[in-house]
Amino acid sequence: MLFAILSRIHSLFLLLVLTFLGATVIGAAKTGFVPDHSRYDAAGFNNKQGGSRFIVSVFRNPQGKRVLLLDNATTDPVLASTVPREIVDRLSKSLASKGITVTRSYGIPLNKIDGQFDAAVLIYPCDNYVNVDFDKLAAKLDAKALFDYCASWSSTKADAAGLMHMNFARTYWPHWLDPEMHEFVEYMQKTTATADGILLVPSEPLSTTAARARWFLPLNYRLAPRRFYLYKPEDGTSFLTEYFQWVKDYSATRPQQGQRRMKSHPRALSKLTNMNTARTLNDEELQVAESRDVQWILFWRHQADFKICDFELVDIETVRGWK
Amino acid sequence: MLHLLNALLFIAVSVCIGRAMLPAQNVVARSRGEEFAVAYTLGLAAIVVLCNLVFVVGLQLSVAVGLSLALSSYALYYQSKRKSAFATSPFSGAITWLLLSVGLLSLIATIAYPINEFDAIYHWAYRGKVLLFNGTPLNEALTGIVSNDNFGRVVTHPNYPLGVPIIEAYSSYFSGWSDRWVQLPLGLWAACMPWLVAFGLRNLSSNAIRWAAVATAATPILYVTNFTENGFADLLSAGTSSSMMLGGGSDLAVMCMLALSAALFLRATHSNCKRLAIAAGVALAATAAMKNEGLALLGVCMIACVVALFLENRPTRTIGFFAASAIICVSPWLGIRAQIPAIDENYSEQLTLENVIHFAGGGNELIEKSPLAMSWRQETDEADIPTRRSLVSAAFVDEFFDMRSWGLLWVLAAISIGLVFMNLDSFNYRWLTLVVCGGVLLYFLILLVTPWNFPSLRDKGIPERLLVHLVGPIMLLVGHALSSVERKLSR
Repeated sequence: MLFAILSRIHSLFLLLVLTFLGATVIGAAKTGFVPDHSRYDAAGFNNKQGGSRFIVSVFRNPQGKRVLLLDNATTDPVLASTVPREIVDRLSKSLASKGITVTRSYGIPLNKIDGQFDAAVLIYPCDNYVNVDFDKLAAKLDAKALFDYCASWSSTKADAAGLMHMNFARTYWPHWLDPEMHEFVEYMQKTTATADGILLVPSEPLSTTAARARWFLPLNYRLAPRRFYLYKPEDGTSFLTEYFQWVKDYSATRPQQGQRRMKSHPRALSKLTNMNTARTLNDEELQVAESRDVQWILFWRHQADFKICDFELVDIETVRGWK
Repeated sequence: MLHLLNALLFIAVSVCIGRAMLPAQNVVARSRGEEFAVAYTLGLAAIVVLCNLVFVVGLQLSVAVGLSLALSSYALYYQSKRKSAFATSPFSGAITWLLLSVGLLSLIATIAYPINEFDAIYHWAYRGKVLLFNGTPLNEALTGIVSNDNFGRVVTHPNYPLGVPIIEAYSSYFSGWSDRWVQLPLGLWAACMPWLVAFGLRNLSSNAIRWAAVATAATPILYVTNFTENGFADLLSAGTSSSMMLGGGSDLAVMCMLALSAALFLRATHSNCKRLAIAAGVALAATAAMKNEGLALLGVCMIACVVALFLENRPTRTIGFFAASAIICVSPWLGIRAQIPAIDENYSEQLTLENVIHFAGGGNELIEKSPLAMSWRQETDEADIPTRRSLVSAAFVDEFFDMRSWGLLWVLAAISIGLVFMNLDSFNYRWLTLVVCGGVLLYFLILLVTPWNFPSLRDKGIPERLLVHLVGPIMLLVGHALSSVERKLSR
């Protein structure tokens, strides 16, 4: 008897099931049945000290540099991803202690802020700041550096204005929904043939073990049946433990050692010539390109955030010509 | 539109082939709903086995598609020759509509987004694309991950089975790939489950059938795990996190194939029907073709058959056909697997007596080499590393009492297992009990010897993603227990 009652009680979990299914369908409908960043937790800046080191490290001599903090006034509504005021205060003090002049915007629109700066930091993701005219912003910034603490600026738009965009907020949407990655996939679809082989070559030592930095996974999936070749993929594509070791091992082999950076090579998408990832190939890489019938080399910088300036696709004949 | 039609074509071909594989209604009665669910999943299992066979002999997907289209045409003709009436449904009108509504909603939830999960994209859909574009898994895209010069093709876990990729490749064969519509055939796993359970229990009381089927549909883990754990936030983000079981993954596929196999086998032993026993073997082979764990489950089912033979009522002839069919049908996949590098998931190497004794005897958990910050866990104190067995045991106990994911399923399972002593004369009861207990023990042993850091696996939804494979046999066992209790009460 008790057993029969328990089975009937179990059946009541249908309510939970129906709630989940209903919420799933309604949630999907709200974004037009296409997954969207808005369905995930808002990005957040997790460094409680303010992360001044990220900014300081960009300048050879930070003394006398001018940084614009695009933050909110105390009366402004707090939006999702806004960096908390106490962290901004800490950042401001820390930058000042290193001799950097800090200007806080307190929600004032950019066109009403006078003066010239070296870099800008996005603290408050209001429409005014997020959809800023990047050309006008670039004209205000001598060092052309953008620090995004809200993951809200478009790195492609910033790049088009010659600005180096660096995101330091943690994002919670999955990496395959990265809009810049989608743009790069479209470019590669147009540029390469489906039967082509593409060798992935890092331009510099791999600097992060973040799982999101494995951009070769979504590129390989989206661009199938193009053939992507990677150094020891059995470790690089495996579980995080193996991937972590792969990052260390690959960096230790120093494939870029003795190779020439080809900063003068015209960039296909990015305007940031200084950030060009193209380089000459070492003998092992040249041999692999030969033996695998590779038509393209995809030079990349191993970063958690996808930026078009970190990728450069060059045909094999051009790369061979550099040697 | 073409993508949708192609996916529907796959479903239609599966149903046609599956229907023809089933015996006539006068041999094995079934309702319209049971017929569709069993025919679809059985036909799908047959197509997966056929594709593996075609690949292993060096032919391409196009040959398998052509053969299956021809087979389904013949199946249609064959079916038209043996028309017979459907049996009465065990469900009332209200329950039928309820089950249909839940099934339809789960289908819509599956295709509401294009494939949107890590495993579903990189482990399964990528293979689907390889099959679609290259025509065979025995291609550099899967075999070329390792080489002497250190460079190879980008692919995750190359020796993962091809069941789901075959379904996806077939569903896009004529239309081209679509991240949304290749999921359509996969959206029917949860919808089919109650009807498969009802089919397997048809010889029992109608009350037992009804409640077991409704309880199956009401088991939350068929759709999602830990829903409402984060309160209202889970409602807002429903369908986006990796806790969603629906979608392009393979765990529900294993669950559904095992449920089908068990249901067919139970009916086969009851009606002494060799055709059903062979079909059950095909479904069990398809279980192994969905995930590597399916192969181990095949072993559990076989061992359960042997052990269950020790007492009275021994359907040896049926078991013979079941085992032979399963072994023959799984061999093409094993032939393919032998040609694909096993880089990081080789349980047959891990599950050694030495490893089991080490960890069961109190061997410590392995230290995670990757930065723990990535998984938001506390640093491990190396002087105080817990034993693996304690971590795995705690995880299993957690799952058994996690009502958000399981409802009362494990309570019902425990009572049903306890009732085996009142039903020792029933081969089916003994067999189901052994399959459920064996399955749980198998996954405990696998996790006991896993070469990975167990807390990291726990973060990724292990062991619940493994235990969900057993929902079919558990619900069939619960149905048997309900029926036996009812019988005892009516005496």
